[in-house]
Amino acid sequence: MILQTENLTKVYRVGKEEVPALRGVNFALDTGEFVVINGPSGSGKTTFLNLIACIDKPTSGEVYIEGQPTSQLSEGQLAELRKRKIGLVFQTFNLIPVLSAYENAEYPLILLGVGRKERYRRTMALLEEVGLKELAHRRPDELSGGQRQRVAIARALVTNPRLVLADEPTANLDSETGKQVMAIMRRLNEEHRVAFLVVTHDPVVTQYAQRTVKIRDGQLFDGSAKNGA
Amino acid sequence: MFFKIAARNVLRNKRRTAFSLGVTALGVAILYFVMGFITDSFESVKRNLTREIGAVQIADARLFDNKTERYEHLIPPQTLEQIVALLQDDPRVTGYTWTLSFAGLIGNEKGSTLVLGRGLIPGNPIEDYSRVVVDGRPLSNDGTPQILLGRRLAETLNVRPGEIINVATGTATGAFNAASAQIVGTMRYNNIAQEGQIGIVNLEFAQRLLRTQGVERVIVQLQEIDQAEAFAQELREKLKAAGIPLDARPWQKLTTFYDSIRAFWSVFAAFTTMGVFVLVLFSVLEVLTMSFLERTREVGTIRAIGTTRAQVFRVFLTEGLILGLLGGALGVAAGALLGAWVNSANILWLPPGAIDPVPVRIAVHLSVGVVPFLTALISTFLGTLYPAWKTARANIVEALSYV
Repeated sequence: MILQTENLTKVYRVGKEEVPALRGVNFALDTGEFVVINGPSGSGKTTFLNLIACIDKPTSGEVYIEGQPTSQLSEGQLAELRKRKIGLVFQTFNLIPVLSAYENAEYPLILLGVGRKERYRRTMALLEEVGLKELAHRRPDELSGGQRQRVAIARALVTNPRLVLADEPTANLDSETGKQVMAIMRRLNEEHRVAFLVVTHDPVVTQYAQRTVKIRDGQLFDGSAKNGA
Repeated sequence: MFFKIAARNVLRNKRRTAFSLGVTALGVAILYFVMGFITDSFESVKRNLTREIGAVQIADARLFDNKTERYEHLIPPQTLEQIVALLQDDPRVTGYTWTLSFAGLIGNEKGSTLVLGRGLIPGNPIEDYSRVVVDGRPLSNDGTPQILLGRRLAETLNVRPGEIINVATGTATGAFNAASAQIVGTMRYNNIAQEGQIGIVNLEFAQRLLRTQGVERVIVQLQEIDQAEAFAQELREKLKAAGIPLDARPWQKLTTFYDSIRAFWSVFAAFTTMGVFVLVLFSVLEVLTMSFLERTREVGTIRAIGTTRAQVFRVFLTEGLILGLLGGALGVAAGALLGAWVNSANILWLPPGAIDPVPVRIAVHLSVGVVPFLTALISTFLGTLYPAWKTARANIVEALSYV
């Protein structure tokens, strides 16, 4: 099992009022699984993803990455965990504008201290897999939305993570491009045996899922209790 | 990669970068110009000063310390010969002469006033004031009594070159003496008050007036002015060894003028440096705060994919340092160009303590640029610290949702 959450709760404080975003979520994800979490806006999807990505702290509960509890890890340890085990794909692509497609995809390998030749080999291989080898030198503002998202997918996968988390990856794309991006993600999931967790409000995305979990009012339904949690 | 990101971010918003580079370069150029002017002026004041008073003087210590009552400090001819023997074969010495001063009255049938007389050897290798004669001619060695009057003194006495004037003073032994001399010329002087009192005469005439064969001081010029202190020390030891009860003092100990000018200009330079420092600091602070704030979402992204706070901080600091390096280099280049232009324009000014106007000179060499360049570098570095620290510490989730 690559990911497990245990009674995950997140409460935001707005003035004097407490607003629960997640209410004791139990969830598990197996290695190589492709799971889509589907829910309306404000249901807690992004909050859930942020906690799993270890960029936010739960109010209570625990996130386990490959069995390792994360709540007690320091900032530095969390950064180390994110760069080694987790790939992230954002709704708005979030590429670094001053870097080319190649440099954006290469960036996580630099963080890992991978040598130049190996970086080149792995980055170009992934850009080829997402169909952007020929556009590697282009900067983000010279690419279409779909191409940018493909660069972001290459960046997420270049370190061979165990888990890729995608937050509304098709929200800023037209439906055809969205389908292409989802197809690429699904293919990479199968080829690389890396687990994908996609949160979306787009029902079309669920077509690509091995398992779909619904989220509403900070609670998971349907397949959320797969491992009996 | 971090350097690459920083360098490209510098060029990202060209207008903003141009503004911060412009402010930094302008400040550095101004500072370079001021530093270049001060550096050259120190040298200029030193040159002018030592041209008149020499690099080292030999005299009775009581004279140096203003503790003489009459003329007990005079150097007799045989001692003078011994001093000359010490100086004449020294390769560091480019010239020497001796003088004899007195105070007395000067006048004619129209009126009289106080005169500060200075007896010297016309054509001596150090200073005979021939270069500052404004009317008439310099003193000559034809054996006749001659006097060169300060321009204002001549105006006070209403006399002109060619006329005869009487000089009266007390002799070395305290008696009264008076003699006539021909006014050969009038001269300007660096000190307006002294221009109204100064009278330069042949040494022989001064000795005749004071009824002495002695001289007051020996003035020595050196190849390297900066060796004056060491040379004076060596000379003191030689004088002592030869049993000559005289002192040798370098030019720095003979006048407080240079030190006071230096202190004034050092304060001026410090204030200019502070001004430029504050200007660059706050400009960079404002520009980078805005620039980093706009990149909050990017910071959230790179932090989310594993970049540490320290690495983000380093990228921003590098960006500030690049700005400082570029701004500093541009400013030094602009300051040097401006300095070279001013040097070629031959603009005249009268430095403090100088008798002649001299061209405004800006020292144009690398050492002048060190302080302005470092000022740019340090101020941009400090100006970057706070916005870099603040942005690097941003909460990742909040940063990712920053609009």
